[in-house]
Amino acid sequence: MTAHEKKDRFLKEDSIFTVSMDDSMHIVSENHFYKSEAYYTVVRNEMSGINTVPSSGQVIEAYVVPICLEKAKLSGIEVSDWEISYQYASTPCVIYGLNYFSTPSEYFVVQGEETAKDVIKHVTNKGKYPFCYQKLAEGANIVAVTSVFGNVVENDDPDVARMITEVYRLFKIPLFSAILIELDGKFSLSSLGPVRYSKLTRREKHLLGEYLQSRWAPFTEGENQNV
Amino acid sequence: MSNLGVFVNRQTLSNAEQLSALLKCRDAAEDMGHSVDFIFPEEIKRLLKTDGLFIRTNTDPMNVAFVASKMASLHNIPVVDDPASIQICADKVNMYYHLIKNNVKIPKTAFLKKKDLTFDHAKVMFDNWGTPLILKEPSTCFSARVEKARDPTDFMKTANRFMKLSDWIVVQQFISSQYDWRIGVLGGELLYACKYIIPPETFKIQAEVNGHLVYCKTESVPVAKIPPSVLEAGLKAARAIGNGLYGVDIKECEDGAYVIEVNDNPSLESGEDGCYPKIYNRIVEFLLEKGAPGIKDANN
Repeated sequence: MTAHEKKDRFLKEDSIFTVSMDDSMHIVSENHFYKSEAYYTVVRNEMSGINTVPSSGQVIEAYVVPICLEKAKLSGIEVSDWEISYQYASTPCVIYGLNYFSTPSEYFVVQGEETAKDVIKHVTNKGKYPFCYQKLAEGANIVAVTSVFGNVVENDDPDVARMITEVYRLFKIPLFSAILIELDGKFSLSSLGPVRYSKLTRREKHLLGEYLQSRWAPFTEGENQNV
Repeated sequence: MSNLGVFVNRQTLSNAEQLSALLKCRDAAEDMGHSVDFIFPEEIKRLLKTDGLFIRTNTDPMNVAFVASKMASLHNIPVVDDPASIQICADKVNMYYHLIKNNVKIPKTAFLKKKDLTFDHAKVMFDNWGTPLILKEPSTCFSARVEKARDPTDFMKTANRFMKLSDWIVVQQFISSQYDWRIGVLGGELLYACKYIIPPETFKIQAEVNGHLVYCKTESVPVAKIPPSVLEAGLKAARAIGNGLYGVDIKECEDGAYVIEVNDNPSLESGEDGCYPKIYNRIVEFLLEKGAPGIKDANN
């Protein structure tokens, strides 16, 4: 077994780690999503007065697409324009669900109106919920990058690195996937979402392992709250 | 003159009672010299042109009402319901954490995690807290995904179903009552009080019984007739969450008033205002004339 493989053994599915850094407890998880174990770990810490990163509010802000983009825009980050609709999207576009059951990890790049109808039917549960869409200009490309504590190791574009660092500073999520829209060499943020440990490249796992090994503390379960 | 935005959706307007309530709200604002715009999700960015936003659709951090609330908050527009209140009240785990932290009297409550869900654990809970137990999926609203478990087998079945939607669920001691008090609170002060008379077929304020929806009956109660312990519990519980608009559900027992839950975005269309005809005037005043004082968004 190589040294890298040994480090990867930390990253079992659903593992949660805590990293003490900058007077805060950083909760590292492959899934900070609302009502997940990691989310409730953050909520419990907040209620115990522990300075926890990310906060429960930051998690929700990051993973609800329009809020993520509005907040990032106000912080000076280039973001994709978005609209909300129930039935119609101007194509080509990227479509995200916007409801209790949706996740920004699931997005649809739609080129034509017929495909859009099928996708919209799916993400809105036949018109029951609204959805969020972002118009794609001609020649635009979708770029997915992974951030490990604000670092991007699998994309060497300095603009991408700078944007992801700013996004990390804003939302403080240790591990996330970002969907960017690239047009003529310029990038705009489309969404953020969780990323599974199993989807990390070897270099990303190595970097995460470095953070965890140098500063990590094993996650300890708290007691149930009984009154 | 200021402009009040009222965030609605098709569901809000498809209900005659809700529609009447929205018109009452509009009339109150206009009588006070303000204008009113109803804003639908598709035109959400219009809310940036309002001076205050009143949300009248179902709220949840994962839905569009939260986007509206958060956008208002990010742009310093006074909003009811504010994002922090939605985030706390829409998640029963978070809500009970706030009540526990602030020493609000609630039924015996535990948060159950996936790894703790075992038959033996369930059995211990029945031994300690009696039968039945109440299980709640944290995102429950209108009493959906609130169920009684009568034995450990029943408990396991329901808990496993709820845990498909949440990694933690709520388990509570059952407290029986024929009605719930609802204390409406705005800005930390009493807004209204009523009783929700629970239909005999169920233990919830709204339930599906034999394929039919049954609703509780609403009985507005004047200030002078609110038991002091109920009023105190309602105000204390609301203040534990924030400074917005809440409906606090309370059961009155021999040993005092127990807070069952605190709701953001409380119903106002079912006769809650019977003894309180100025509910909407106070909400409009709170948003447009006072600027929703004390409402904080810790994430801004």
